[in-house]
Amino acid sequence: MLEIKNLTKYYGDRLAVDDLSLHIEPGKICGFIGRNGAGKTTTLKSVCGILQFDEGEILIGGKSIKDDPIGCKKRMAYIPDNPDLYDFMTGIKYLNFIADVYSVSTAERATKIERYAKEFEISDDLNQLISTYSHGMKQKLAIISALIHTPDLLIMDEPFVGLDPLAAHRTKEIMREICDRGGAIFFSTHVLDVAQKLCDEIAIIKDGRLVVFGSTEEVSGNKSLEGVFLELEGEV
Amino acid sequence: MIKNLVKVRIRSVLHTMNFADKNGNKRKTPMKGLMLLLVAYVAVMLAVMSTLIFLPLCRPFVDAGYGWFYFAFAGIMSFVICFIGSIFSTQAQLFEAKDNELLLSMPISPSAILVSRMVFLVLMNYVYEAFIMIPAFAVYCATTPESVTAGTVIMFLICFAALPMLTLSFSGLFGWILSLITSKMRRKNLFITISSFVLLGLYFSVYFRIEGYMEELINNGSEFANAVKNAIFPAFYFGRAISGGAFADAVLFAVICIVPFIVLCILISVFFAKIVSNSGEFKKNTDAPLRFKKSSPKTAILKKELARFLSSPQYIMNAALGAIFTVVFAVIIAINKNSVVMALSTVFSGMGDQVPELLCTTLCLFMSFCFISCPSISLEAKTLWLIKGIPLSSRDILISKALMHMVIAVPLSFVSSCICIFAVDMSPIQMAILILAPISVAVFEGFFGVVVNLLFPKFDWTSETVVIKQSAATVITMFSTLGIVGIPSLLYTELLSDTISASVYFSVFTVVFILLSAGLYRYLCTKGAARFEALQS
Repeated sequence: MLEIKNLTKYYGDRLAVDDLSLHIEPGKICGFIGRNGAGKTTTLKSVCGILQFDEGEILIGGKSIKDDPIGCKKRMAYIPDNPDLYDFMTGIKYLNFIADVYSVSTAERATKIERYAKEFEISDDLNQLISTYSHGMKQKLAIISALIHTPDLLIMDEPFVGLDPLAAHRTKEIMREICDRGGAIFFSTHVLDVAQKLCDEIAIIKDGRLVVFGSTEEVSGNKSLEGVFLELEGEV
Repeated sequence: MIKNLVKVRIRSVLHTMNFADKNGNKRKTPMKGLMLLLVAYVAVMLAVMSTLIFLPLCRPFVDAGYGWFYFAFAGIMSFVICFIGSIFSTQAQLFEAKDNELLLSMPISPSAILVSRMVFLVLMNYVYEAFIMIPAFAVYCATTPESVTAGTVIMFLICFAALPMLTLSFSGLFGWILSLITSKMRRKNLFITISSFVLLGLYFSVYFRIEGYMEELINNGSEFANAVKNAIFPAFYFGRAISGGAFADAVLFAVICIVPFIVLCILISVFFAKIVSNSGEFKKNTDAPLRFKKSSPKTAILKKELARFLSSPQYIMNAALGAIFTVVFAVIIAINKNSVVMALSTVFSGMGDQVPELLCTTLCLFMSFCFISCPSISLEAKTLWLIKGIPLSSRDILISKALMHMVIAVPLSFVSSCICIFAVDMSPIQMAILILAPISVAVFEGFFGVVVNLLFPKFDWTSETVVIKQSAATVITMFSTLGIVGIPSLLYTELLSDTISASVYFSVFTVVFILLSAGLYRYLCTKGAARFEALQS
């Protein structure tokens, strides 16, 4: 579903991502772990076509994000770490806008919006301006908007930040549902317990380089993921 | 601390105007020179306009023994300009700045935050005041040199320094009240837009009648002077302090200005945290059914751009003013054709009595002040990830921004032209020109604004008003288009009107603008799209 080959990205002279390669199969949830500034968000944004990269190739379902960005974007969705949405729109207008740009039919969007809004308990807030939303509500809206077009690949940057426990639990269930129907998820997190329980695969990035990539069992072995990560960072 | 906060605020404004780079360092590129040139051009034009107002007033008043009233009038005018110019900036800077909460969370006292904001606003008001008071004083020195003493100069400086405090007392209080009213309003933007239109209407109703007022002022100077002396006593002290070099009057005026300013500062600093943290919660609209309405992706992105534009009174009042003026102008033509045409004939003397061509030139010039598409990329700022992440090509995104401009400007231009056509007799060719030429300018400016914003984007703004009104992209777009439209018109009226017919000139003018628009469209589809893809907020 997602194949990153030799991704390299510079910010000026600074190397942010260094020759990173990984492959996520359909049906897999891959957790992306690393310290602040390690290159996680840069990688995720490059995958989504938001950020241009200097070298390498990113394939979504076999299509290159450079050659066919629109085709790739139609198959995926991105949830940023800080959901800055269109404050001047109401929640429902924003969701309609996203549904429009992904050409989602009226019936399908109505079904999905009603379902997810109820599950995330923001049905009563959808007629309010987004500018009045809390961080958590914006995060919920960003998640709903990402699910409207039934993406095959979901890219999430710190998706649980700001969510209440119930919404975080529901998000994990939805992530699993997506994978059960053949989709894939690539998400960054600092919550290593969640990553260990939820992910099929783990990728650890350090100073822009992918230092570990494999199934969760392979990576953690009989240790906790936290222990492995601290070891890699030279803290143990 | 206050010094640092003021420095941050000034740096933020300079940065928004592209005078400084991302690190706050001075820009070294030739663009800095161009920006300074544009600023100088605006400053000179405003100073000349003020000078033209004060020239016929000074000598008669001084000769009649009403020298003080000359300065009182200048002071009142300065007060009004500063108030209108800073009312919404004051509200935005004091009560709605994006970094208010961040600063309040730091170990900085509310009074320090407030003082830093006030210092910035005072500086801004000095700039507004300078455009009125310096020409007024220069005219006084030039036309009545015998009245100028060292005392006059010193008192002028004292009064000049004090006046913005009085303006800020009023605009700060008004901004506070506005903030309190709008915080509980669901239709806050509509309220601010209508209020802005009312203020603007008042301003222009005074501006368009300024000649009549001036005449009346000269003829009935003593009556006006007495009225001002009794009703607006600070203006009396202001005028007498400068014209008479009276130190006591200057001190009294300074006290009148400074005391309310200090009182307001204390009051706001006491309530600052409460004002800023006022979330403006109102009853939730939970009963309304959710509406699911489908549009095509391109329509959706255009609707989103329009929603962005219509959500901001500052955006409407600043960027669409030119287009709104075309309609106002057309209505004035329909009501009072003869006097407006006479005034236009004196400006564009080469066109003489060619009324349709005069109207066409004026509509084109007004349209050149419409720059709706210009800040549209900068306004994406933190939502740039969103627009770049959706499955639409960069070309479609950029074109939607230009289209948004055209969807607003072209109908207004068309309506204005139609009103003018109904009001004035003209041939079918002149009708076609009157419709097509302003539309060609509107289309050109739609594309041009996006191109300029692509070249000068600003994403790290703290107030959208600043990026809409003062960013490099806005200034460059506005004055470049004014030049591109105005210079050929002036060249034609002054040099070519005897050799080339107006119909031929406007036909060429329209074709050139259509070709320029096609060129800009091509740029946006190719290099512009590539540039947009490389943008990072």
